Amino acid sequence: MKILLALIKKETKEIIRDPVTLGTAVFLPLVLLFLFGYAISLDIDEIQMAVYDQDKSQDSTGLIDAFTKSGYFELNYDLGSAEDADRVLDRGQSTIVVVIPPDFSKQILAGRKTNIQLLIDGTFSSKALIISNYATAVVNEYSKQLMELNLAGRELVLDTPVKVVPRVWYNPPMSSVNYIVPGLFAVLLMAFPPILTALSIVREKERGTIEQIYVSPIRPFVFILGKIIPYGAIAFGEMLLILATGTLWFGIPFEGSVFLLIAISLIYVLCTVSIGLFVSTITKTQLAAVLLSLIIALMPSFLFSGFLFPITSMPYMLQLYTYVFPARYFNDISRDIFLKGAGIEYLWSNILLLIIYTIVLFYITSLRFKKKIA
Amino acid sequence: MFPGKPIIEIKGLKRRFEKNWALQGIELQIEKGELFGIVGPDGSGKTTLLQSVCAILDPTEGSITVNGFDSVKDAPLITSGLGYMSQAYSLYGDLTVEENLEFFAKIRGVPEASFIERKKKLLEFSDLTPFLKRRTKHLSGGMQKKLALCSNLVHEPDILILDEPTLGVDPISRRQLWDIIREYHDRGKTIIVATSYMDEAARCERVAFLLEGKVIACDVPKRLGDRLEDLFFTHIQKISPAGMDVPFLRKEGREVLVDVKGLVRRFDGFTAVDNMSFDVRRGEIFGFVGPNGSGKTTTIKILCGIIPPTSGEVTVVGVNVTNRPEDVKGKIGYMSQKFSLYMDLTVTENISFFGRVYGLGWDELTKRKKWVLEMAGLKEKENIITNDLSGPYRQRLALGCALIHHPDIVFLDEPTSGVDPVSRQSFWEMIKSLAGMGTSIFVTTHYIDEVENCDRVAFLHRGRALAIENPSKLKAQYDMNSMEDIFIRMVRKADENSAGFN
Repeated sequence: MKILLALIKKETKEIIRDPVTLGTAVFLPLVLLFLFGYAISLDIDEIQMAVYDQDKSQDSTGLIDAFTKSGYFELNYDLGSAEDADRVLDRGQSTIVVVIPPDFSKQILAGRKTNIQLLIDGTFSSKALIISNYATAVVNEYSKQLMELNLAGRELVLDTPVKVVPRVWYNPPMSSVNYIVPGLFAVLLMAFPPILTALSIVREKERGTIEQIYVSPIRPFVFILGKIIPYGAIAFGEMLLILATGTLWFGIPFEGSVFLLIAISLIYVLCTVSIGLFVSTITKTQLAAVLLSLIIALMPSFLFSGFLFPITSMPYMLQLYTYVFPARYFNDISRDIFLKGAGIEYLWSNILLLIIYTIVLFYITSLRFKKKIA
Repeated sequence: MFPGKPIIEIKGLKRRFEKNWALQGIELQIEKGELFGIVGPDGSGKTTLLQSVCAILDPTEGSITVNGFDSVKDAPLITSGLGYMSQAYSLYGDLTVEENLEFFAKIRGVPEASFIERKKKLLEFSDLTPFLKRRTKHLSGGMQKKLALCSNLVHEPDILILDEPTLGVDPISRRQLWDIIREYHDRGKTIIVATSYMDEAARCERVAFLLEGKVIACDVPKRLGDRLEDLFFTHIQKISPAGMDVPFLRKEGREVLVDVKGLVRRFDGFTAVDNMSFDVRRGEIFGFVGPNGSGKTTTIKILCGIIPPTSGEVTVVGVNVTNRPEDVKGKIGYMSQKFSLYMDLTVTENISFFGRVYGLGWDELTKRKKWVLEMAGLKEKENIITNDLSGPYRQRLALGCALIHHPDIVFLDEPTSGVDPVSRQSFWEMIKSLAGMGTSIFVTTHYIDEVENCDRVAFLHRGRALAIENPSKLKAQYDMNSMEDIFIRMVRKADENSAGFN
């Protein structure tokens, strides 16, 4: 116990006196939180729209108004030719071009069917799909209005037989920041704590101080604990910091229990720190330790945690693969607590997996850490 | 312990690293309370042997018992009663002197009361008391070694294992280290010390001479006597300086190549070089000697145009270095402490690279490559990866690369640091023949004994030159035979003078 305290004391002093470690632990996660909180937006609004209106009638202007009034489209170009339409799409100045034919209002007045053309930049396919859906909805709504107007002239009323009233649960404003930030906790805690922890042991190997540890009576698991506790504490502090910043700054609604989230994040933090320790038992240089941490911790936490790419839309084999990475469990837990207000009765399976993962990792690492040079 | 029963028994010890056998069948018995020396050139297996005794490296074959415990099965029982000072830096640089001591005491379970008492004594003995609150990374090399030794003595181990404790340490610290070692030994403790210094070997009660992983002699130093020295100089395959006499290296004249007047260099309020003036002539070997932190490397870097001086005039091979630092670089050779070779390239690839950097044409490069390989004794090893070369070969290769454009003067920054005495001596022979052909050598070292090879030597202390003189003349002047004693006398006098001013 005394030895463990001495180890923790030594480690803490080293951390406090090394501005790089402290900066990486505190400053970088905050920077990333802000970058991601602001930069990654899956919301689609302010769609840049160009119009090639060959009709210039009251009806065609009405259609364009319908687009801009929907709140999703912003008219930025009024084009004079079909070539212009090509140009604005090529240059990426507009993502959608609405082409209205010259006989648009004439056909409507005559009560005949007419077509308009939508040219959409499909480079980013999922975004194009959403834009196309929005645009179709706008056009449908407009033609329904025209029909109602037409019928009203004949003193008839049109009533839609089935009407959809959508209600979005858990994230009513459908704002993607509400979805990104809780997921970001899982990613950030997987990004920095493992690297810092791995470095702290490998640095001792590189400098040679580890040999003093080898010839001392310190038992391997005590040494490992002496690393886990201070680095776990840093990572936990990091978690509290980004949690506070995330909720207060970005105003993410918090539905569930703060206490529960903090308790689980403590387990998660121990888990990510253990990953770093594991890395340190299989690498000999600081460079290798950083690279390996990036590859086995940071990268999968982006790709396979469900942070950006929904796991349910992955191929089945990859879905199974995601279970290898603890970020996946915590990502689910964090979002469920934040947005759904889920309690332990619903989250227990993920929590259990996280605990088992941590214990197994700690056990393997303690076994792998041998007090021998080679 | 039963009297006469050895405390350490090594039987048929072999150890392999991948394909190389570092130890090839060691048989040794060390008695309780012995001061046992292990001597041998670099790569002879000294460190591997010590680590095996410490039970932190398992034997490939054979066995080691310490206090009756087996080094594989009972490793924790061995390590708990043992102190090990490795060659590497073994302190926590961000902790202070005091905190390091405290940490090593705590992990060894030293009670608070004994710790305070031992700390006081150790710090006094090692002259570290004034630096109690200083972070160890800001200590000089000698002080770090002393602290590393103290950190191992603070838990008073029965067996103390020291791996070249004085390597790269200034003479004053070296004496203090040995005083501490001897005092600890007088208390009946067993000490094993690896060294490549003859005089240190002679201080041990018994010495084992290690060569290529085998003990080739083990006896009392007196009985080994001259044999020890002979062993050093005959058993070791000497790299003889071949192919040094080549026409393109010959240069005539005695003109001044380096002229330094009133050189000062400050770093953030601390003066590394304090008003230095000297000159170096063609064909002269000019030595720069002093402890770590005395301004040796700073001066070399200024002369080579790597860092600008704060004030003073520096002319090297006719170039004013202050005004035109870039122009000097092609005219000089420079070999840094770390040798600056590319460890992942082969020997020839390194030579070619440096040749091309200095703008040599293909024909010229082929000719000189042949010469470098011959000079460095690397003729059959030209396709070996540099990392796999031993220290002395690397050192020669680095020298060859620094000479590839045959500069008028070559700057060598501690070229022999960490190289065994025999290789050091033959390196110096090489340097001398190089100088004989008209290349000036500017060399720094902290091995005072090497000074005798220089035509003139500057003794440095805290950024000042205490004396610039021919070694034989100094000996006559001080009426002393050892350069080390002369240097220590000068330093004491300088310190007294500066204390007088304060």
